[in-house]
This record gives sequence, structure tokens and C-alpha cells, in this order.
Amino acid sequence: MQIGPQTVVSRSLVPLLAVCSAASMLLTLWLIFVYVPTDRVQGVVQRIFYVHVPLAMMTFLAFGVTAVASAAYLWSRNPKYDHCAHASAEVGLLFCSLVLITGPIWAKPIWGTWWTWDARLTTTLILWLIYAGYLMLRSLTMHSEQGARYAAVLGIVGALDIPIINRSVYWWRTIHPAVLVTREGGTGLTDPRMQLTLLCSVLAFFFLFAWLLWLRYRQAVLEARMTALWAAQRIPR
Amino acid sequence: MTAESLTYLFAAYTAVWVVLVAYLWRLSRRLQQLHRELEELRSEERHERATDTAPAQERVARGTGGAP
Amino acid sequence: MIPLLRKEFLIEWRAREALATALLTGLLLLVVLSFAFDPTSPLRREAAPGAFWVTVVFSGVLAIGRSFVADRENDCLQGLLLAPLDRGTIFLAKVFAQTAFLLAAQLLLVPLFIVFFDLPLSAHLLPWLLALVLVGVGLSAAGILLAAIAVQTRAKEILLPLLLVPLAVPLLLAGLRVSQRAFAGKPLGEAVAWLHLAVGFDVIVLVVGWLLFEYVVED
Repeated sequence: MQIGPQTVVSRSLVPLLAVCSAASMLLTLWLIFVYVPTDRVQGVVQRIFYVHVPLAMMTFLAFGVTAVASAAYLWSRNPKYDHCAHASAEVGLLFCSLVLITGPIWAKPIWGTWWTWDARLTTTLILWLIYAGYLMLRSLTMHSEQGARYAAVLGIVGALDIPIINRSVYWWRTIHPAVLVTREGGTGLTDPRMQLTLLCSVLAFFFLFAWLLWLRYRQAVLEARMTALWAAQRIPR
Repeated sequence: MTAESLTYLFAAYTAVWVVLVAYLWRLSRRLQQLHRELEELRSEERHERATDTAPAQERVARGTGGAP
Repeated sequence: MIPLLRKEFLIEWRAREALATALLTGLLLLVVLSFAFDPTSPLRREAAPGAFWVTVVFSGVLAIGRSFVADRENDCLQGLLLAPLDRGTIFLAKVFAQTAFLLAAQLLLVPLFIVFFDLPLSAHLLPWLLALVLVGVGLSAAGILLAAIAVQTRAKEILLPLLLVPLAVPLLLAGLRVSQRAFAGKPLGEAVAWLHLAVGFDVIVLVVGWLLFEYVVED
């Protein structure tokens, strides 16, 4: 194929993002395991916090990107927005799964239970279910213009529903006597070294998200192009 | 207490890195496969252009036109 | 709008598909749930709101799943789309018709529910019914939008519940909270906020569906 300016950008962007995320991730790991002091109340386990929270932030960012790209697709009908929404939803679901894995591992030694139906946990779980459904819809309508439209509608509806779900599960728990009063943001992190570590970690996971998103996006673009080429050539696969 | 909490810490970080590396591996494999397919198509195109010109060129034109 | 509604009700009257689906699956769930909980246990009454709303949501989802099947089989949707009608209007007509069918089925289920779960008649019926209406509207609006999508895919029976149930969680929780107070014979009190939440959900889903429906039925 011809090499356009887009290809050149993508070829230089991928190594750049890979280097950025690798370097910042190594720095973050050093900060987490060597530099940052151990939390006085929670002990060593508190260090899970430095991956759990950035992952959760990137999950929300990813689903936000999906919603914006979905709206952009419906408005412009440019398939690249559709690929972007798809890629972001998949990376977001991956991060969301990791949030749901690290959360209970942290909660067990600190709270004494793997899972509570706390507002944030419940919202994250429902988010996971919504976007798992989104990806299932995508896999059922592979590479069609119709499937792209359906996914875009679902991407928008899902994102609009998130605040309502969050509100409802928050009320749901607070009317009941709360099992846990301490919130993750509220405990500690007064130490500037902890704040620095968290900041670095957020940055590292942001680069990681951008890198994965770009790789997945390239994959989606290439897949669509290949499908079109095979169809045009009418070569049975 | 500390030994047990170290286990939890280890479990959490292991899970995160195993999943991330597995995902990256899957992505890169798929990308490689796609690049291979692209090469295959390209060589086929070249081959066809060399053997019978007229219908192949038409097909090639449609092929590139169909790409987004 | 009126002719559209007439068409929906006429189809329903001839086939009685949505009503029968919602009613029979609802009845089935209610019976299974009520004997799954020990009849002699006092826990039964505690479980009543949960059992009721699970019944409502799942029978509703199944009934909504049928709503585009008849249209699709007879290419009726094609005809509708050719008519000079706003797509949003078609959406609203479908939602109102669907809400009416769901509510009709649920109103028939309510007395059975009172009998099976041994509820006192002192329960506050009005807030309960209000919650039922709000949940019916929200569930139908989100359901019609997603059913139009699901019916076009290979896995239409599975896909709709998978997509709709997580989105409808706020409605389920609102219904639960309101009816917990209502069944206990207490006034609504601070549970009014839940009704507001359900109204908010309904408004958002109706507006979004009205705007986005044209993208779903484009072809």
C-alpha cells in the first residue's frame, strides 16, 4: 500500500509510546517497592493501591474515550472513530478486570473480606458487565457498518448510565449501615512521597493505556482493511 | 502478618503483570499475523499483474478502492 | 403517533404476544421464587421485594425481546421506515405501547404476589404502583432501543438481557427500596429520592432513545 503521512506518524508513535510506558513503569515500580514508605496502618498491602487506583482511573478514561468516539462516529461516519471506540472499550475492559482482581486482594487483609457490596465496587462490577455486553455485541456484528452504528449507540447509552448507576448504588449502601467508613482516597496519602508515587503511577498507566489503545487501534484498522481487500479480491479464505 | 500481607502484595502484582503481558502478547501476535497476510496479498497481486494484466489490474483497482 | 399506537395495540390484541410472555414468565418466576423461600420462615417477607422486582425485570426483558420480532418477520418495520415519519416518533410509540403491555401484565401479577408472599393489605399500594409505572417506562425505553439492535444479530434472545439488565440496575434498586418501605407499611419518607432517580432515568433514556433510534433503524 502507499505510505501516507498517517503511517509515518504511527510508525514513530508506537515506539515512542512503548518507550515512555516502559520507562515510566520501571520508575514507578522502583518508587513503589523501594522509595515509598510503608503505610503505618495498612502495612505492605497498601502498596497495591498504587496500581489499583491508576488502573481504575484509566478504566473510566477508556470508557469515556469509547463514548466520545461513538458520538463522533455517529456524527461523521468516519470508520476510524469506530475503531477507536472498539479499541478503547477492549483496553478499558482489560483494565476494569484488573481493578476487580486487585481490589479484593487488597480488601481481604485490610477489611477482612474479599468483597463487599460497597458503592464503588458495585459500580465497577456493573461497568464490567455493560462493556462485556458491548464487546459481545461487537463480536456478533464483525466489521459491518451496521454493527458500528449499534455499538456506537450502546457506547453512548452505557456512558450516560454510569452516573445514574453510581448514584443509585451509593444511596443503596448509605441507607444501610455502612460496613466500611474509611474510603481509599481518605486514608493516608498525606506523605508527599506517597503522593509522588501515585502521580508517577498514574502517568505510567496513562502511557500504558495510550500504547495499548494505539496498538489495538492499528489492529482494528488493519483488520478492516484486510477484510475489504479479501472481499474485493474475492479470494476464498 | 507481614509474611501473609507480602503474599497478598505478590498475588496482586503478579496478576496485573501476567494479564498485561498476556494481552500485549496477543496483540502483537495478531498484528504480526495481519502484516503477514498483507504481504501475502501484495505478492499475489504482483504475481497476477505479471501473468494476466487486464482483469488483475481491474481487481487491484477495486481492491485498493475498497480499503478504508 | 395515534395511528402508530393503534397499530401496536392492534397487533398485540390479535396475537397477545407481549402480554402473554410477560404474564406467563412472570407467573412462573413468582411461583418458583415463592416456593424457593421456605414458606414457614419469617425471612420470606424480607425476600418479597427482591422476588417481586426480579420477576418484573426478567419477565419484562423477555416480553420486550419479542417486540421487534413480529415487525421483522413481516417487514413491517421496513414499511414504517418508508413512511414520512420521524424515527423518534416511532420510538416513542413503541415505548408507550410496550409500557402499557408490561403494566397490564404486572397489574395482574400484583394480587398473585400479595397472596403468595402473604403481604398485609395495609401495605402502601400507591408508591408501589408509582414505582411500577416508572420502572415500566424506563425498562421499555431502554429495552426498545436495545431490542432493535439485538433483533438484528445472531444471538437476539441472549443479547438483550445481557445488555439491558446491567443498564437497568438503577431502576431495580429504586423499585426495591420503594417497595421495601411500602410492604413494611411505612410511609415513603426519604425513599422519595428513589422515585426522583427513577424519573431521571426515564427522562434520560427517553430523550437518548428518541435521538438515537434513527441510527439504529437506518437500513
